[in-house]
Amino acid sequence: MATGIKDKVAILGMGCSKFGERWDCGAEELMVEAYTEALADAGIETKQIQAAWLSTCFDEVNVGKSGLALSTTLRLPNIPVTRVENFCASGSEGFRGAVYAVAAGACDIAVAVGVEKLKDTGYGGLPASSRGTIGALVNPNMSAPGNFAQLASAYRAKHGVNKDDLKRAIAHVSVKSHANGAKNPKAHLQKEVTLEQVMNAPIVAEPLGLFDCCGVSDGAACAIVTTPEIARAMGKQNIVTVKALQLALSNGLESSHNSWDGSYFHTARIAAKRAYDEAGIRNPRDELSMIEVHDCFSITEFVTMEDLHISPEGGALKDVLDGFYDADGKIACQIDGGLKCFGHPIGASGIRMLYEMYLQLQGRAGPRQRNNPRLGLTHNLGGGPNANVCSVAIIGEYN
Amino acid sequence: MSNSYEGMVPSVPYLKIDSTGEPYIAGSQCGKCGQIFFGERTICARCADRTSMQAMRLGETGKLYAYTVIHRSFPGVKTPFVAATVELDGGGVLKGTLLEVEPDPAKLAFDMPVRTVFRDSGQKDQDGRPYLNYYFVPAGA
Repeated sequence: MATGIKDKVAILGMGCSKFGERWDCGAEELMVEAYTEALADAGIETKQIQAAWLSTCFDEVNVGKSGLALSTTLRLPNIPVTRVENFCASGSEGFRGAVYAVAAGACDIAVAVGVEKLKDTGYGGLPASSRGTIGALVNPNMSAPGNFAQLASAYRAKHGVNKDDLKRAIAHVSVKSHANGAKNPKAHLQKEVTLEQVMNAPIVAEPLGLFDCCGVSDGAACAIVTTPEIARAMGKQNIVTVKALQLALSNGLESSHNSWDGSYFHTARIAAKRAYDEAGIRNPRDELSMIEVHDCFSITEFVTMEDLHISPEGGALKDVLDGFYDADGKIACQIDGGLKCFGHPIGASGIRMLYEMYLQLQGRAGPRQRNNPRLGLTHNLGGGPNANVCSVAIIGEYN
Repeated sequence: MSNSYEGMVPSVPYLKIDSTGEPYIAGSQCGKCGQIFFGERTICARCADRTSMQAMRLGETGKLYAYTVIHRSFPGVKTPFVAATVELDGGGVLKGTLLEVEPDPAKLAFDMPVRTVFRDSGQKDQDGRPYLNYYFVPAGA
């Protein structure tokens, strides 16, 4: 009988590179930047690491296939290193590998490093396999913004929401994230924006304007994990443990027949429910302190508030405009600035989200620090609304 | 009419040209649960039945279910245009480009009636044969 991951694994240390246009270095240096911070935070040496996971997505423009890039870059002591890729949820997948290895007792200390260097492509979006082929000819709407934008009209059709009201609500989502990112020295975009700026920005795919889309960035993030017992024996205080680690993948239902209405993420609803069960959370709206979700687009974050069972169905508009998810709201969302301000170096994002939750839980988030947070959730999504990989992780204080 | 599509290459596998030269959108229906899909398939994605999928032609009229207006796209793709999801009369859901309407949300209404048309995409394959594509237009257009 499976017993779940709750409190079996502790985070020993974490690190995160500065995200942004990192023309100054390559992917290897980004990995080192994140790893060095995590190693110092954990208070261990490289020789103590017994297994490693590397998460990247676009091997063609990044560090290549296999785990060798990580093993050679960090001079790991000839240990097992596995490279994982699961669309935009790759970072969470690397973390999952390391956490399960420790939980299984296969090793005492494991590391997960996620990295992506996207600016080198010179392209203003994700590298698209359909570019320049017949796919682009027939399906030019298959750009990421074009794909996610239809969530907005499907949501409006389902809930009878006025176009201008929804535009204002998703603009609030971006204004809030920029306000948070302005307080984060590691974010790519560190400027506040006004509601007017967001509402009047050039449209990419209606209703998504420039500020409704996350940036393209370079970055890396790292997590070192062990058991709570080992962390305690090392004298660690404020130990943070993994409470839930869930992954739900589409099985073809959304894109194959019309029982899915296009206004929500089927996988997120399932992964979230499982994560709450695993973590022993009965009422997420009351129990969660903060969440870090996959805001590739403002509308994605907006509908995710319902998919995580925090806002009632059809209730995200009111919660968002009421400031429920603002930095001083009941549940802070994107307290670090989110993908909106960090951009989305694919392999790194899932671990970058965990990094902020970890800092907050340890009371080390500086000007962004929330008052006494206990549980933090991350939601990391790969793929589009109609077929995706959805990770939901919960970490919290160890009692 | 029947020869006008001769020599054209359908742009996607589920766009077909029949023996009389007429293009159509291929679909399938499950004999067990009745679900209709676009494209030909042998197994039902709804009830997993493997024995009763029947090939059919999808309807050429429908209603606009969801849309976005694309203003920025991949290099070489002309914008703006309306990317639409259409619920076809008689069953099936299809994505495609909606033409002959202003690419402006004020001009687009949920459930507005549309119909499918088949046109030269304006692009050619390496042998110079034009690609045949399907589009949607407002029902009255």
